[in-house]
Amino acid sequence: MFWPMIDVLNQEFGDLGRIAEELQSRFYSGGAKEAEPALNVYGNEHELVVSAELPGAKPDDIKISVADKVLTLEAELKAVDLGEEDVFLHRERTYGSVKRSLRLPFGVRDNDVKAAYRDGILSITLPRVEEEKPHVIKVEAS
Amino acid sequence: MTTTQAKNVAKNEVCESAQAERVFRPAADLYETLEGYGVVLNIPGVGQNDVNVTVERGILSVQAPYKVDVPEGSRILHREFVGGSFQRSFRIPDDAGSDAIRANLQNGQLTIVLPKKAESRPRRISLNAEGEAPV
Repeated sequence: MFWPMIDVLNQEFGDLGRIAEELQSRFYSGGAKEAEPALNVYGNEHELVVSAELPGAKPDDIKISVADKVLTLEAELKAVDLGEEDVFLHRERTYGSVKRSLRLPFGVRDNDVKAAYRDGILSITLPRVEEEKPHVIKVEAS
Repeated sequence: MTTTQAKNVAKNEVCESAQAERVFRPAADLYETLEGYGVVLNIPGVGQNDVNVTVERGILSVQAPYKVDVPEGSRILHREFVGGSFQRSFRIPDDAGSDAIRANLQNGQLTIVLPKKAESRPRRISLNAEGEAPV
């Protein structure tokens, strides 16, 4: 039988093993059941970088928008395309549309937002609007 | 992030102190066709040259580093994927050969195809022409 090894092992631990596995799958596939990709957010005073795990997505199936300081990313994850006589033996991967929104801490220069997609990881760079950057006010000696 | 995810992040943080490297079990789909079996795994962030697919004593194993790069000059503000390594093994079905296994990695999606042994594949038996007795 074609089956993941861990599932065979977990049978010995009964439901407990399966619960742990279920939670793991949810987390590791990026909040799979909630259809939300996992996000990492990095930043400094000039820009914010948002990374999302979108394994299997094609670049054309990814949509990114910024409106009212809210970044929204959407992607269509296509299921494995099987022939009529082919069957799934086991399924864990997420498919269908996934979506995630993030409220940005500052306004961004919409035209300068850049997105790169590589090996299933999407990285969006959002440069901060100039006038919003904190500027140091010098105290002059009288 | 859901509460479940948050708890798992917390759990993983604990694991980090206990282990040098975190090992993740990538989500997998398994399927069967007339000609063979397929495994599809999510291994985001892994490049073509970094994935290691091995077959030994009837066990198919996948191993790859799970690299998460922090952009230069930036701080981590929020983190749901942390890096470590991906690892998962599968028992190869008896009717699949371990010789002609093919693997393909695209956009963080690894597909491994295991052809069935010749004798396990469906064959079309042609019928003799009418009136002709089998010899």
